[in-house]
Amino acid sequence: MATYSEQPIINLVSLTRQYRMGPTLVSAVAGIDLQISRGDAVALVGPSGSGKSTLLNLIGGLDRPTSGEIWVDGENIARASDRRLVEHRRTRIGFVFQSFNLLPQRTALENVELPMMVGGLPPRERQARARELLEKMGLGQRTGHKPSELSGGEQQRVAIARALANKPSILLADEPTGNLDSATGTEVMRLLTDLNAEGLTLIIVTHDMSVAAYAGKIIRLRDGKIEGVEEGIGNRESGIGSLAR
Amino acid sequence: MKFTDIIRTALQNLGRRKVRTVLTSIGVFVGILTIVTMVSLGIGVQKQVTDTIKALGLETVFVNPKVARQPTGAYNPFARPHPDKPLSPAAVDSLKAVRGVKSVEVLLDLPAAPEMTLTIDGKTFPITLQERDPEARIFGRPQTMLAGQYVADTSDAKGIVLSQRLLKGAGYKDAQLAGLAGKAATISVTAPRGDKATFKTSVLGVSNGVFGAELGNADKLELKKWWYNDPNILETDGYGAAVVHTESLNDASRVAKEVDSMGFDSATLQTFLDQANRIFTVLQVMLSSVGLLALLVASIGIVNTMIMAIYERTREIGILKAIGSSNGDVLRMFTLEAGMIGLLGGVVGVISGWLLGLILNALIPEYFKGQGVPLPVNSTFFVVTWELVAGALLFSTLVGIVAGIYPAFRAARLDPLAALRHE
Repeated sequence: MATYSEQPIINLVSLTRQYRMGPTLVSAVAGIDLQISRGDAVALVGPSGSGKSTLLNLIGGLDRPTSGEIWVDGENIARASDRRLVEHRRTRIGFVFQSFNLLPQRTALENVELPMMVGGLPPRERQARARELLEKMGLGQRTGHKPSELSGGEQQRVAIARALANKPSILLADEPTGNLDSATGTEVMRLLTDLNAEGLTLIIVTHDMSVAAYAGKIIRLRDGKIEGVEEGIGNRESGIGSLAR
Repeated sequence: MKFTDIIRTALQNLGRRKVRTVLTSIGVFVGILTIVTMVSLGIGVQKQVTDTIKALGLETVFVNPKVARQPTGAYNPFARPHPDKPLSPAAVDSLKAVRGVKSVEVLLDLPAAPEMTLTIDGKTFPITLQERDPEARIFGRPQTMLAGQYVADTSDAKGIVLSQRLLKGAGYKDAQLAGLAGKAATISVTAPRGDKATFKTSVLGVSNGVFGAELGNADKLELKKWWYNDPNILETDGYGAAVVHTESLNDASRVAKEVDSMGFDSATLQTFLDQANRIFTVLQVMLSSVGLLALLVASIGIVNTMIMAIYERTREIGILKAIGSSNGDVLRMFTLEAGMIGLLGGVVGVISGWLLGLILNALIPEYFKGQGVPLPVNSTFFVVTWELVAGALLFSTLVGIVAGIYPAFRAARLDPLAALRHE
């Protein structure tokens, strides 16, 4: 019997997700078996339509599979109730999007507070934690600014702070550098790998191999299936990722 | 998500769309203003009537003989009404004998529209005798005596009370009125059959009333006996009505029941009050339905505004769901927003309705004074009670919430991924 530390944090078993597009049935995910260990940094790469974003959304509980199992922390969220799925999104998962998805009328601080407000944390506590997180992201001076007053890199760092607000064990990033120039993209990837080094399980969807290189494990997808698994390169240089455990 | 945070978020979202929020709530404002004004008018008038009745004493029981209805088309104003069981002196004695009865007043009907004149000190002028039905006496304005005293409602009451207006019409000056009390007077009556008769009486007093004259029961009886040419008329036809005063409030309904079992019609002020309240309730509902119509239109406006808001904020809803908001959180947030639009309209509507009532309360007596019309009741027509305020605020909020449920439900059921992709 495996000990707790050896048990994978994510275990996907013959997972499929089909969409109906007019008369045809499209398999975005066509039978995937995958295990991801606690503290791993995994990149999902592949051409568009390969099912990498769908896979990320399934793990994040934003989508439900057509068949198969999604075990996260010992719970099969493929069969979980709506209530449990909301709980899963709120407590286990932090999402980082390509387009940041910050609420435009709210300040950086309020955006970071949001998941904690949803979680029912009292205002004083959540403000303190939001400030702390923004300082960690190097945005201590920008807490009162609205997204429109921040640069792309700053916005993405606010989004990362928001993703971390409820202390998730898994961070899911969908093309986190897609809207950034290469310099700020590198900066954001450094931040994410630093967080991974602190023990956070990281799954990044990207089509950019230089971004994927930061991960300890690169999973190539094509037509909803795993084409191959490679070791990352960048992680060895910086000493992070799966080897850092 | 905590309820306080839902409220705060809803308030922030409304504050971001001030113009739209205010415009949408105007419909609710108009509806609530109408309802508050109408209901406060209803409450005010009802209070006047209730207070008046209560001041008269709820321990009063009105007794009327049962009269068989004349066949339709055969109405004859000179016909003698024949009660099934007359309120004869014997019957009045039996009323007095009922346990709990303190005193009984009687009222005698007059022949319809007799032509008559009154002669005092050789001066003759026409008079009209005033019908004295007990309910009119209760609900009418109390008369003030300028001289002498008022006629009592006892069976042996004699004398005549003349109104100021009648005497002025006959050419008397104000200074002369006081001297009339106690003077001998002669009533001359002409019957339809052509006979003439005179009755001796005396002036009991002068009232400030606007109507003709009132005659004591004993004098009335003499007149009636001659008019119908029937010396036993009191025994056969009886009194027109009796007013029974009971010892206490608790006796009234029991005495009323006993009166019924004796074969008479009874009515207590409580039954009047109940009937009045029923009428006022119907009236209030009818008047308020104008406001309800406005609220119906307003609620459609709220639905529209909320659907727009949800369309605009689809992406925001997607984000909220991605970071862990439940469908219930989203539902509550938008329902509450709609409820607050309703509440805003309600608050403004209640305040305006209250102010409008205050203004009208001040203006209406002025207007009547200007017209020279004395007010039937004292001048508070619009009464806004705390129950009305609470009810109106609750109702306006409820209108908003009900209007918001459908849009909020749509928002709650949005697929998070589709919502996030929304531009």
